[in-house]
Amino acid sequence: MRRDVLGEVEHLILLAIVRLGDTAYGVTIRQEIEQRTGRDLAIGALYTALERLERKGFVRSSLSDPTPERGGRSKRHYRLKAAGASALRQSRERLVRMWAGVSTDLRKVGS
Amino acid sequence: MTPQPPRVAEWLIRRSIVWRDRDSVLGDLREEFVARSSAESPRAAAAWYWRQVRQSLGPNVRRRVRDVMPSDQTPDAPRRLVGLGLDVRYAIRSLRASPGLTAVALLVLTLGIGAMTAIFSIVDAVVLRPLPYPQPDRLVALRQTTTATRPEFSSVTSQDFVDWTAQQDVFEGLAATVPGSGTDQEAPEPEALQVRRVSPNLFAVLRVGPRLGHAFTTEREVTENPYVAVISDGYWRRRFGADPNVIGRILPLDNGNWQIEGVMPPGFDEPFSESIDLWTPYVMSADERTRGQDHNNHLQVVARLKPGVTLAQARARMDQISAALASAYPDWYKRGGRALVYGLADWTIGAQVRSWMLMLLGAVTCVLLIACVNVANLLLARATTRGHEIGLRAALGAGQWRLTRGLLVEGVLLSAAGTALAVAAAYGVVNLLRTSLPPGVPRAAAIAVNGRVLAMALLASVVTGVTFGLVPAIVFSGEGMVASLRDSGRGGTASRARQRLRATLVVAEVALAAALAIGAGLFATSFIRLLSVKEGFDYHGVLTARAVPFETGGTAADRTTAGQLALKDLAARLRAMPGVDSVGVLGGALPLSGAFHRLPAQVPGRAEPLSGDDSADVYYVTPEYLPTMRVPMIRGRAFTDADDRADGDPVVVLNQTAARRYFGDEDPIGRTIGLPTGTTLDVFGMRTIVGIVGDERPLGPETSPRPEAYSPLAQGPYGNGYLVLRTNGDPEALVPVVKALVSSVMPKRVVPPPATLESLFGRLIAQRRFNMLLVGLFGVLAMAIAAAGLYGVMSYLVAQRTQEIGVRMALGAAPIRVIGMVLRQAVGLLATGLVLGLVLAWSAAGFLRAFLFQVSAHDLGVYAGVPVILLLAGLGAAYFPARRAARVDPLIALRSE
Repeated sequence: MRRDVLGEVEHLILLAIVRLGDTAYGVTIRQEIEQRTGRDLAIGALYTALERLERKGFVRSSLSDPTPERGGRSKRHYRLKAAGASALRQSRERLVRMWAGVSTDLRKVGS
Repeated sequence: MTPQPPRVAEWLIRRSIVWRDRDSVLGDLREEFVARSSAESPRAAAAWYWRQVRQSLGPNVRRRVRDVMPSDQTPDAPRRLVGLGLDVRYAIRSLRASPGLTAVALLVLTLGIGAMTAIFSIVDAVVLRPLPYPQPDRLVALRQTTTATRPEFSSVTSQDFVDWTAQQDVFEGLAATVPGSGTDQEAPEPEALQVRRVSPNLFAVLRVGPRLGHAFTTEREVTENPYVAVISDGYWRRRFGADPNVIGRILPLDNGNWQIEGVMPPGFDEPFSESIDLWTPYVMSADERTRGQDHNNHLQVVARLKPGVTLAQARARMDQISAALASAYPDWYKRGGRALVYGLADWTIGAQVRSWMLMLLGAVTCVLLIACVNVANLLLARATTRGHEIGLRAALGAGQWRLTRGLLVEGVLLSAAGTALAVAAAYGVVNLLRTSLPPGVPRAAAIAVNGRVLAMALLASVVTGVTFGLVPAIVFSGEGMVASLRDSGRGGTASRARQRLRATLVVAEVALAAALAIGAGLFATSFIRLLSVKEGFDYHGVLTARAVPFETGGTAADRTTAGQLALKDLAARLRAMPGVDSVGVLGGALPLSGAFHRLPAQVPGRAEPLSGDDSADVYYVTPEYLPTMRVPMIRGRAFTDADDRADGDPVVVLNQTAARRYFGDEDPIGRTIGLPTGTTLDVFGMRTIVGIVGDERPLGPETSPRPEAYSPLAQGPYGNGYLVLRTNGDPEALVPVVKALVSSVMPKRVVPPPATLESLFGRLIAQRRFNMLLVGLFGVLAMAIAAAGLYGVMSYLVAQRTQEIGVRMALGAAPIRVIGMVLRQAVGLLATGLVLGLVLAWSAAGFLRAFLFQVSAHDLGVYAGVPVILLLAGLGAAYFPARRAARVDPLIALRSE
């Protein structure tokens, strides 16, 4: 797998992080994806993907202060990095080009 | 009150998620759980939590596995290796930080792995390695039954070999080998060569050809030019300086001029003998082919199964063939003669040697196991003191796997260093072991530290390293890293679990050591019983020399008489030497040499001559022989010079067993028995019994006394024999003089080196001595290691209880009570280990039965005595920490809080 090719879940997560801005962490990313796509991402899968994105240099994370409703546990906040932004753009461009001229019911291909 | 997530579900997440994300994930889940509880219901939230667990376990576990096994596809594989390099550097640093402990661990490992490597090199060479021929499992050895000897099978007669070869259809070929002889008279000192006469097809059956020249061809055999030879690589180098043009050269020996046809590759041995210099064709005489009078069971036969034929099929076919032969020649097959087929490796190595070797391997495995447990215990002790540091590393973000890996790397590093030292030591020890092995161990010459042995050492090293690296790692993962940080190493539940584990390890050590020590005790008891067996003669201080006086001319009887005179003359000259008390001459088999000269005895009142167990071992001796051997005279008279004449009245002296067996309660003195006169066993000459001597065990302490008959040398058929010297000093010192004197009567002949009876006796008991020394050594080693382990644990426990002891002493406990308290704890550990060890030894001892002599595998004395020794050693080891405890200064102990 090439470094800059995003899987679908990764694509979704990166977009959620962009949308959430400063408030992106585990709970909000999950909720953002669930509310917008109806996809209930398991937390284990989420963090696996986040770790992969971080290793690829697409996002960076930082720990923030624990809050009481979290049982005194800290949060890991995520932010998009420049490489992540360009990967997201490239991924979108590839998809758009491939979709061009394809009808959404996938029955006929326009000329 | 805020609702709590399901505890089991939370625990599952905590155990499965990688360390790095543990807090964030648990926090996220709880946050959302709380939110859902108030938005929906606690029930729905719990259901949601459980769904999360179900769906997350898979990814979580996969992630951890990926961490354990970096794959090439993940882009950060190189970084993981860098991490490993760091681990190694870190491990080296931490090993160097505690040099004492590292040194002890290395010493224990070196001993354990070194012993394992050395023993394995023996076991591998002797029993594990396949025979050095292509497809060795297709080779078989053939023997045949006989009722004439014990055990009741023997080598094959030449006549049967001829018929088997002609009639069989299950083997690619049958090849026979028989002992040969040859003396190289061109050498500066006549050299007796190791010669084997072999069927010309032997090399084809074995599928090993010469490295130079060619092997025998059957045409040469029939064209009656049998004076051809194939020489060994060793002899080629020694005698011909590895001359490549040696083929075709003539080698003049005392029995002919041999033309060299081929040179075998290095390391080649035929299956039935070792260190052969020369192979010559075995050409049968006409006598050997026809079924006449003589049964000469002297052929060692090897064959290769045809493709597709099984051992069972070959056995069935050979049974048919021998049954047909037996009905064709009923007289010949009176005393057995059925063909026996064995796998070659089974035959040449033998079940006895195999189980002996496996026993040694088992004993040394025990030692290695104890060493492993001990090192695990040491590392655990250190990990305990390092608990704080490990907790800190965990807190700073080191993942659990990373910490585990660190401990593993330390273990493997330690065992690798120990293995390197062990292999170096094994090189030396193996040579020592090879030379101290009892004689007759098959393939002993091949024992060496080689690739296979090194591979085994490497395997042992990795397995031990991982094992004892893993123990502390498991302990820490069980406790949780942060617990280690909080717990300064005392009082907490975590450290109590660790104490329990260390105590368990010590108990295991003690148990293994006890089992091994019981084995050693059984071997030592066997050996003592062996040495206390009465031989019936005094073998100390006796030197023997074989002399074959070279006489020519006259009839065979004339030459025999001349030879006897030469022997007596030699005896007179030896007797005159300083340091020699008396000299006897013996014709026949030398006691303790393993040989015997057994003849049927004709006893009055019995129709048939007595054979088998009742046959007599016959010795032809000069009058001085029995006093020289210090065989006690029981009744009647000894031989005199008047008896020792060819024309004297035929007389005989029996031992007590013969007297009882042949005459019961009657007095045999003055009566007669018949013994065979010539080489055939059916003409008996009657002899008058003049005396009775005590019983002897000439075949060694493990045999029972048999009927024996002594007759004067001059009345026997031997013109050669043994000079037996009773010395009053060191018999070895006389060897050169004796050899020189003997060689004066046998010019141009190889003089066998004189040997003391003590050295012959030593050979007979060599295997038991070897077992006793080796297993004894293992037992002592095991005991020392276990005692060291106990010492370590007791020291640790005392250190843990310093405060408590301080309080007790402040409250007036006497030092002796403190010592007693610590020792009681040690006795608890020891007793548990000893009981387990006794049970282990008791149930495994059946295997030792075959190696014991006059001692039961469940000898109560050993089972009672050995634990006492171990208990004392253990208490000795525990005493030092106990004394340290008693010297605790209450003030200092309390202040250390």
